[in-house]
Amino acid sequence: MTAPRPKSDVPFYLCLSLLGGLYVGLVAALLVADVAYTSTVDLGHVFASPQIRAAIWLSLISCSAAAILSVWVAVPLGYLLSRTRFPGRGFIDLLVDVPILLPPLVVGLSLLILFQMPPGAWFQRNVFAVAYAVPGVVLAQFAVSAAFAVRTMRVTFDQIDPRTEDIARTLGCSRAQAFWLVTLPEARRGILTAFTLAWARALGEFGPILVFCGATRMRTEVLSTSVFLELSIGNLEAALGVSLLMIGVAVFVLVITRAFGLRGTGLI
Amino acid sequence: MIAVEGLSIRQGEFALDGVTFTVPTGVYAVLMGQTGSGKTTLLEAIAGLRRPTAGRILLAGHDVTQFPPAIRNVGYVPQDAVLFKTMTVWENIAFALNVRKTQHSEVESRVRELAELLGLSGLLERRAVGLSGGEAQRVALGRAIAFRPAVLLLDEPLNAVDEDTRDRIVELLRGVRTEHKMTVLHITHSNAEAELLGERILRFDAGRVTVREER
Amino acid sequence: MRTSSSTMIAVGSLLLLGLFAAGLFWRERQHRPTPANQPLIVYAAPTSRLPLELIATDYETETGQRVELRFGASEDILTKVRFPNATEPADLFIPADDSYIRQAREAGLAAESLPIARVHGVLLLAKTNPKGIATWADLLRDGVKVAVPNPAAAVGKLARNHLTKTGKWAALEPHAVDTGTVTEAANATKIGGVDAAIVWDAVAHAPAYKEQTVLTVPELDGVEGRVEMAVLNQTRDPEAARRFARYVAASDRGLVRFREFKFRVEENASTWADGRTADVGGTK
Repeated sequence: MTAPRPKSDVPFYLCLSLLGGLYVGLVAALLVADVAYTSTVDLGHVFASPQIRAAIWLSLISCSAAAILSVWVAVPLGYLLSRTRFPGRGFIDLLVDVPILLPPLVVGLSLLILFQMPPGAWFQRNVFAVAYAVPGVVLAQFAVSAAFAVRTMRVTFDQIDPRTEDIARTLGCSRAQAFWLVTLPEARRGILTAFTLAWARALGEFGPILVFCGATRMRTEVLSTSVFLELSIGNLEAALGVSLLMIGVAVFVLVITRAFGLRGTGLI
Repeated sequence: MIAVEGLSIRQGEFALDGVTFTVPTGVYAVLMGQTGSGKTTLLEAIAGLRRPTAGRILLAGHDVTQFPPAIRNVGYVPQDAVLFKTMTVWENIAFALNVRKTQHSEVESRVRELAELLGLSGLLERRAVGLSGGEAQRVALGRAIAFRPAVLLLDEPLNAVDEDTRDRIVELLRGVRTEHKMTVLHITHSNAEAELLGERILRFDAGRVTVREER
Repeated sequence: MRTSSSTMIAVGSLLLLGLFAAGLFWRERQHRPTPANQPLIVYAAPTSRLPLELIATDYETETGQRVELRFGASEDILTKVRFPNATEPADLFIPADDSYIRQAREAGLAAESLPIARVHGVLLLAKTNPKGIATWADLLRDGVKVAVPNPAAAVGKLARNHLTKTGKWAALEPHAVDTGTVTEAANATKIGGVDAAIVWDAVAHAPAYKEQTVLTVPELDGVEGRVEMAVLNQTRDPEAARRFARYVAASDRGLVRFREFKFRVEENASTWADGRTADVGGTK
């Protein structure tokens, strides 16, 4: 008896491409629509505005700072959640998701209220101003993007074989050394993903910043605020110009980060 | 010497209960048992990676039951090698020495020596990914013995390698045994392996260890 | 042992973080007011943004007093005024219309306010007006969509109340599309998502919509609001806050700018000079 002739694989790949292509098509169409609505003249206006140039700088610096801070808390927290069992772990796991679940305006409002309460107010008077100031921008971005970074790091550590750490311990490492010398380098790709995700998230963040830091031109205006300010006077062309600029900046930074972060790891 | 006295470990569905046996200093012992009988758990307990619920483990006459793995002076070669994938073969072998802050020149000579012995000289600069089963086992072995531990634990070291490599590794293990004067506990489910290597053969059955044969 | 990659990355990231912090600190210093020159903090709805930015610059040139404008949707800025920052209380409040001033007054946040302009409900038509809308009756034709801001925005609430009272809402309702704010309604016409929007005339006349037709219809005659500027009770310097409010509301100063942007400014407003006399005379 001969085996039945295998069916062609073409329909399978066709189905996958069709379904996947729907989303790719949507994103591409959105970008095309944005580009079609703006003109190089509008983009020129965007670049010429000192307010928007200031917003570009603030966005770049604050997002990078927020993303680095996010990774610094996400690595330990993701590790603890992934590798250890402690009382209240399930609760903490849920708690970390709260910033993702909360409506952005509520995040901002909560930050605002927190810094009006006596300890927050004391901090603002004696250390430095947070609300309506640049540290607040970074904090608002950090509050949300760290949640994404923690998720990423948790999954990363879940996927790393804990036995490499065990082996390192038999070879003379304390737990801390095993983590530092073996696990962390293996988590490199996850850390990079967490960083870029946090960065992109921080760049797009708007609601909490607007509520917590206001939209003061030249001071707390980030690019997403610029979009809002332009949109709120009906200047759709400029709003889209800034949006395209954000996309450009994001793509540039993410590509650079990947190229540097994965260099020499054989992953790219 | 490896001495296990009344060791009990509860882990998920299976439990080791009151395991007792001794391997005298410098002896190559092969512990045989069915897959899933808890052999690996036993090795991990000796290495310090699992906390027993009862019993004692003595290495070289010291009760190490409460010691962390780092100070037990045990070389452990897990079944699937578990190499450090972000490092080169060289860095894998040198790992234990570097953790001990050994002098650079000494690390260099030890790694070269082991690479020579294990036939890894051509691979030293390669990243420890995509090695064949035999190569990975040899790297793991080199990594485990680089710091001259008193005790070497081998978990099915010949399982993942093809026939040709198997003979080679058997030769290597024999060489390691004579050259390094280590106490070796080698676990396997293969009679042939036991015959080839064991100076003392232990049988592990239903959580109990019996000395089947001593040569 | 040579430095591990983890250590290098950890130290590197901390150095970068320090660099960013220094950068932000330096940037903040550039804009930080000296204690002697505290800026007045003004919370403003973006509908008044264009005239206000010019007025703030004028005022700084004329008096040396710095003015910091913080924009946000009326509800948002009302929230911010409600939760004043301990170190930086706000001085003035200028929402999209007087309904928010009333709320601020009721919450005890403001006592006095100065009228700046009146706003009226108008129809802003879609670009190129494809449905050929010219009268109210055209809105009720099949397939015509009209953006009406939801009742949270004053114009939406006032328009609904007025149209219900005059018995016209029932007919319009099937054509009405709820949008969040006035600007969202106006933007919907600009993109062409809807055929017309009920918005304030001051919004409809903004430069962004200059290619679109604004229709004043008798059906919206009673829909009227006011743009007012309130002096907030939390201000640290009521004198300076009142002075700027008078400047904005002066017929020969701030109102000129508002007029440039097609706001229907208060006709019988006093001049800046009158205001100064009042300052000197001390009407408190």
